[in-house]
Amino acid sequence: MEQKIKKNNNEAGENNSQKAIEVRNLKKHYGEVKAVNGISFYVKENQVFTLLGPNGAGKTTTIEILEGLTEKDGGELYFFGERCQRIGRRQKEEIGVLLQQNNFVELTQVEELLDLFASFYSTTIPATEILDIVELQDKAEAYVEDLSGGQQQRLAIGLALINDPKILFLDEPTTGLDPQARRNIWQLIQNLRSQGKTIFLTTHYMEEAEELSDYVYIMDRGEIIARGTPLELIAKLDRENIIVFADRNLQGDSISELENIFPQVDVDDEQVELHVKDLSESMAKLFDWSKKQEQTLDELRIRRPNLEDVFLDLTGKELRE
Amino acid sequence: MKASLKIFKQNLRQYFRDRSNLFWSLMFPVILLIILVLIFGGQQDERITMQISLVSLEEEGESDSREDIFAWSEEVEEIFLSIQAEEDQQWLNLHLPQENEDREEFYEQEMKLLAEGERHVVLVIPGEFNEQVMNKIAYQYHETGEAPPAGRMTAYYRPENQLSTIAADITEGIISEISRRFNIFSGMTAQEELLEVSHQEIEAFAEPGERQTGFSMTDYLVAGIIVMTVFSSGMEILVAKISLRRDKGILRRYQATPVKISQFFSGLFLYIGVITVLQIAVVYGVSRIFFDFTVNIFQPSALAFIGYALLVFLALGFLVLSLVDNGQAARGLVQGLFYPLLFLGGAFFTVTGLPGFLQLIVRLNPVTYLINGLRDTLGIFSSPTPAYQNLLVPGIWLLLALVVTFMKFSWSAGRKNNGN
Amino acid sequence: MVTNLGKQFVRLTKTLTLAFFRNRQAMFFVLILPLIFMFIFGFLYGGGGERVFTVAFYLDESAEEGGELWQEIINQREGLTYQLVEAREKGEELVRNLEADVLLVREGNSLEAFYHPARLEDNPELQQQVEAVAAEYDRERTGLLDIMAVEKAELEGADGSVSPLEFMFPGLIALGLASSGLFVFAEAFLDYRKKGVLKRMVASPMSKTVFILALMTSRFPPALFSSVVVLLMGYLFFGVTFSINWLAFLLYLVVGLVVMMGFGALITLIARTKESASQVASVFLITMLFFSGIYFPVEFLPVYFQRISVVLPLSYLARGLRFIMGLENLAGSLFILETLGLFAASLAVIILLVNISDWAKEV
Repeated sequence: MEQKIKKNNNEAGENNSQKAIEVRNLKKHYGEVKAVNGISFYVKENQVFTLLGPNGAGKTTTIEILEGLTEKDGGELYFFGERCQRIGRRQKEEIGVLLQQNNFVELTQVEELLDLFASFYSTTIPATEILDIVELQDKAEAYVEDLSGGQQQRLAIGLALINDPKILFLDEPTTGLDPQARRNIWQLIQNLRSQGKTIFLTTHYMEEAEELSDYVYIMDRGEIIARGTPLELIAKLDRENIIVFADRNLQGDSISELENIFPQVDVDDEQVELHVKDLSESMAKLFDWSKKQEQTLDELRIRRPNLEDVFLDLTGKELRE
Repeated sequence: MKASLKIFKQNLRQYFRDRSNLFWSLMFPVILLIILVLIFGGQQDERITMQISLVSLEEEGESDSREDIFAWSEEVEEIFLSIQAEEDQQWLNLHLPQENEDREEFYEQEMKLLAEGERHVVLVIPGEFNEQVMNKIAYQYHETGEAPPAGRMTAYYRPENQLSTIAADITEGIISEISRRFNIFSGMTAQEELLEVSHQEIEAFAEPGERQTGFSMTDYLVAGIIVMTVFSSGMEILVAKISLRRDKGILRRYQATPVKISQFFSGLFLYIGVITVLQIAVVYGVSRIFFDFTVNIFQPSALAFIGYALLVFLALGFLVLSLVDNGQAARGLVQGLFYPLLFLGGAFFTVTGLPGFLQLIVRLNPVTYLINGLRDTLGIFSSPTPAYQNLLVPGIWLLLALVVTFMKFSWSAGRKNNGN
Repeated sequence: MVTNLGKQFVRLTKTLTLAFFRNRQAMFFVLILPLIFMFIFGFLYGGGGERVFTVAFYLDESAEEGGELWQEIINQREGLTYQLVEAREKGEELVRNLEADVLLVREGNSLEAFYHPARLEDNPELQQQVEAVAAEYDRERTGLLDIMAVEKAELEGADGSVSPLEFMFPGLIALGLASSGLFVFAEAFLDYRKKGVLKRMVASPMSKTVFILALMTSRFPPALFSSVVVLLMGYLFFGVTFSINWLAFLLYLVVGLVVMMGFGALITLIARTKESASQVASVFLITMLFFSGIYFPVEFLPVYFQRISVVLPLSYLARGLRFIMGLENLAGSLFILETLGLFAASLAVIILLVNISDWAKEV
């Protein structure tokens, strides 16, 4: 209620009122280690904002500061335009949280757990509605430890929604889930966005970032190394296509010949990747090469560049270790 | 082979890495041992002191007319004082009223102290006591009329307090002895006519063996503690390790490759064996150094018996795991049965005088036989149960457990996950 | 805002209580274990009726009298029964095998009594019986004159005289309190923290204080239930009754639980991790069992031993319960002071632990 009034008081179009979260020069260190080393960003309302990065990048630390679980060591924090030292009880009323590990009180039924969390907030959505949203309608009386991994994750998201929060924090929401469960969660997230919620996501899955995000910040070793929409980031790579074929006993001189023709060649045990701009021209050159070198082009395919390529380009490392 | 060694080493490393767990799992039997030895070991009487108050009340009526009667009450006081004065006794702490203290007031005060637990016995000699004794003695010589009662004094005690009860009995004994002395002194009886009573312990074994160093309560208890540690390693650790893995579905995965499962178990058994030996070694070491434990547990028969006990407990562990699917319930069951089975097996005290169904449990309890057998094998005390039973009854449990395990053991946990 | 806290408290208490009741392992300890001990020690303390000792009797030819006299004397005594044996060795064997409780050998003008060396609880009583039997014999045979005699009078407790069996029950109830309370902060709290349950909760506006109060309250129903069951079973099986001031009893249960929780919190402050804290708590629990008066009468413990019992909260609780259940007299002011002191100290430790612990740290 208070937030709405505040919003109306601001001038229309003023940036502040549209920013759900903003951090400036946020810092957090553990002893000598600088987990978060002066990062700045803002999350616009009704947006899916993703922090993408490998494990140990500082994503979880960042999100935990925003969830009020850790105190920042430096920098400024703004919650819906209001500057705060930390996320306190008042702010917690407005947020929903999905932590990395599942952490339900044992020996409790699903509905009991939902009712329990409902009691923590002033405004809540009825448990039955939550169960509908996360598609666990027939699990109301099941014990939480009897749910499958995907079901538990959906329940955890349900708990995060119980107070109809303005902003949802989802820390690695699909890690460890099978592809089907992952797709279910993605659908759920997209539904929530279309309902007007703001979503702050951390992940190390490139497809997740690409699929869901309005805006991506790439993080590595406590710092932001790139920012933009997924398309913007990929476009910056300035390569349109990637030609891939299987590496079957490629000889050394064939490879060097390939490197002479194409500017960017990645060879590993399994496949060869050529990063090119003009597809037809490149394909012609490739066929040429293959005929001359007498190399077959097995499993030939063409793919678009993705955020993993972006990350690799920026850091020389892979997103997945 | 290699895989089982790896599993064994992994478990062992885990065990040693967890410092506090290590400390307490080794220390706990020792702590228990210390407590039990402190309670039971050594001479009990040395440490107990009984607080006995003695007050002889004034007689109602004129006091001067009683001057001619012998002050038997004072005699009793003297005797108690002399007992207290004996050099090598510490058990009696006597409380008497001061010279000019009002007897009634002292009596009230002492009774209050008795109620509060500060006294064990309050011995009250009523005013008419001296006259009563006189009359009784006189009757013996004249025998006219009815026999008067003996001089009566009252010993107040608290029946719920064992020491108090014993103090009352002892007081009774002392008074009885005074009576007896008088009889001898006055020539009514001859010392030789009276019984000479002596109290002693029976020998631990019918045939005295090579080591007959006398019974030691410490030895008796250490045997119980050794069986306890084997119980805990064999059953508790086994059930814990397996049920946790079963709950997590790890066991099921092992099952897919039959070779792996046997390696897992052999590695686990090896680990349990080592831990058992370690714990027993610590208990042995401590009792040897600090408590004068004189038994040699390295006799082959004793070691074999301990090994047998371990097998029995491992089998019982599997029995529990087969009958109880849920990991938490299984662990709870074992923990819950642990102390009762030990108590009813005679680990911490001798179990007798129980009513029917409890006695039945004692007789069915494999722990009873294992403890009796170990005490016998170690030359501590003869087994109340015949030797063949000490092997047979646990053996029956072992077989029963194996049979049930083959039929019912499930590799997956009780609560099933249902779908995605 | 206050009504919201109330709702939080109710739901949290309900959830935590249910979780505790559904935990089979915990329930076994809290409910079944005290009952098991009650049965074992109840019957040992002669709860099932009067204890009768078997006297194995060997009569040597050198003794002048016949066995009938002894049979009469021994059987006359309440609590003894006579069994003649043909050989001394046979008698020894009976005692060794616990089939007889004492062997008497009558030879010449002596009466030798032989006891089982490990039966320290029974032997003192047996000894007294033997002395009394011998004295009776002397009286019969030699016309010994009793010039004085002692009449033993039981001191009445609050509602008549108290038996050793009744004395065990406060210890049992205290044990149930310890089982419920000790592991709240030494295990449950740490477990919740390690699993991230606490972390998830503090990501919400939930009040930490309310959570702790709910956690503590959740242990009260099982503790109460356990106590009532123990008392009920004691009445049904052993016929023991107590004159209990129920209000004081309930209040004391609350206090007792809190004291045990405080002790568990103290253990946690020192032991730090969940594994070691719960191990240490288990050790203390079993140790306290031995000091509680259930297993062995406290007054038999040597003096320095009794000093140890001073630092064990269970001793205080057992004593306090004995007072409330009408079994023992305590100076009222001392009792209240002691109780309040323990309660306050326990609360202080709990508050300290809760505040210095990082709820969001999954350790």
